[in-house]
Amino acid sequence: MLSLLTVTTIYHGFIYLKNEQLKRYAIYHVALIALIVAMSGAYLANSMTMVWIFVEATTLAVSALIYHDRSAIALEATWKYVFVCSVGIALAYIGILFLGFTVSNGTSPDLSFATLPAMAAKANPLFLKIAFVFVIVGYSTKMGLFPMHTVTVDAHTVAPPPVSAFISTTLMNVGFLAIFRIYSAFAATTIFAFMNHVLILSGMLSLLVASGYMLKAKHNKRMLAYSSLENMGIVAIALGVGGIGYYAAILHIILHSFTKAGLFYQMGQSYKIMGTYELDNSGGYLNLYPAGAAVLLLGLICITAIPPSGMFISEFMMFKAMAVNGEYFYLILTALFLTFVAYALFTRVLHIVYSQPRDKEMYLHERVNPVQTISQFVLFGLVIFLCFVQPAPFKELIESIIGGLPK
Amino acid sequence: MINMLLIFFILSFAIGLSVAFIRSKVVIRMLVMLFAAMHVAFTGW
Repeated sequence: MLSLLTVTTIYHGFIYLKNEQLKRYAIYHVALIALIVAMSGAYLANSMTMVWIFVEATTLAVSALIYHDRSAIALEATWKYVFVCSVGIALAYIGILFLGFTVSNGTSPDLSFATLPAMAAKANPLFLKIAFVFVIVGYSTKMGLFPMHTVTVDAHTVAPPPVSAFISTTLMNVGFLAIFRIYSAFAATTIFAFMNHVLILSGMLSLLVASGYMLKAKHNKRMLAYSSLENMGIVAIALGVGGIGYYAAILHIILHSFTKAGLFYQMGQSYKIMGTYELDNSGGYLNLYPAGAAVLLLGLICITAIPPSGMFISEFMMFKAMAVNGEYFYLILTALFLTFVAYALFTRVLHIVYSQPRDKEMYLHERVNPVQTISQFVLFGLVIFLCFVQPAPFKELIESIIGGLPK
Repeated sequence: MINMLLIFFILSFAIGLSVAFIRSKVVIRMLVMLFAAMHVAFTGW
């Protein structure tokens, strides 16, 4: 997934930076390469400490990318990102220290994921709980989950669209991976139920915040950033609910990555044509660029989990897991929040596509070659394909990821 | 596995450093495409 989105992000980056000055062009690509390498390291690391180091490295690379436009708002978002991520990463580090003290028994701790489950089973549950809470709060800066979600929302709003697409998908997945690996390692301990409660609480609060802010969002990219928060909330809830919710969580995070990347790429193209991200000044996109309008409408169907979107399958599985476990309160609350989210997304995207803008003179009317939009259709095509067919190797891959979790 | 990872990191570092100092957009673009191809090949492997 990282490789696929690397290719599309680099392609859209070339288009976005076509008229950029050489110095910024070089800095952008150096930072992007550093980010991809750091994320690859975080995905492949086999110990808690190595994951932490690579996640910290992503903060530095992303900061350079957010500041690309050199505007006051970009500077503010960059500082905020560096400060909040540093605090978050420090909290995650405290969690790792707790874990080290708990499992080491006075010796040098081995925090590799291979040995961690066996060591955690013998550790003091109170310290494990504290470690988990610190880790989830710390890595929520990267996953974009409540309570440290604010920083990712600002970053996604300000960063160049290809970067927004990249960090609201693959980087959020890195945060999820860090939390998921600890969750898997502690799954056989007595704090399993506690972890599920924390995940569901965090997910519910993410949904609440996202649905509330999306209803008043007046910035097109900010709306998508809150949508990412909402989807990470769904993933956390699905993981916390358990059963087929595990499968739903992994499937949802994969499909969300493809969908959100496509939508953010399209936001970059819409900016070229409309010259604004402000919702009130956007409109008439169907007449200006029909292929882009088709992408927005298709993306809307995919992100709101309406069939034939594959996200329908993952959300349906999550609701089924809730019903099987008898958690009807969570089910109703989640459905209510998702209704608000769907309403907010529909009204805003339909406004961009069909309404007349307030200020037409702002439009840049720059030409966008429809060939540049093909990659977005391919990504949405994958999401729709996975609604109807999930190939056996794909299923086995997800099953192997969740294989170590209690049934 | 470790060796492949090490090679990938070293090559990425070399490409990143080259991109930082080269004064041609065309060459930068080619290096970045080389990096993307390398990443896909590494992940595929």
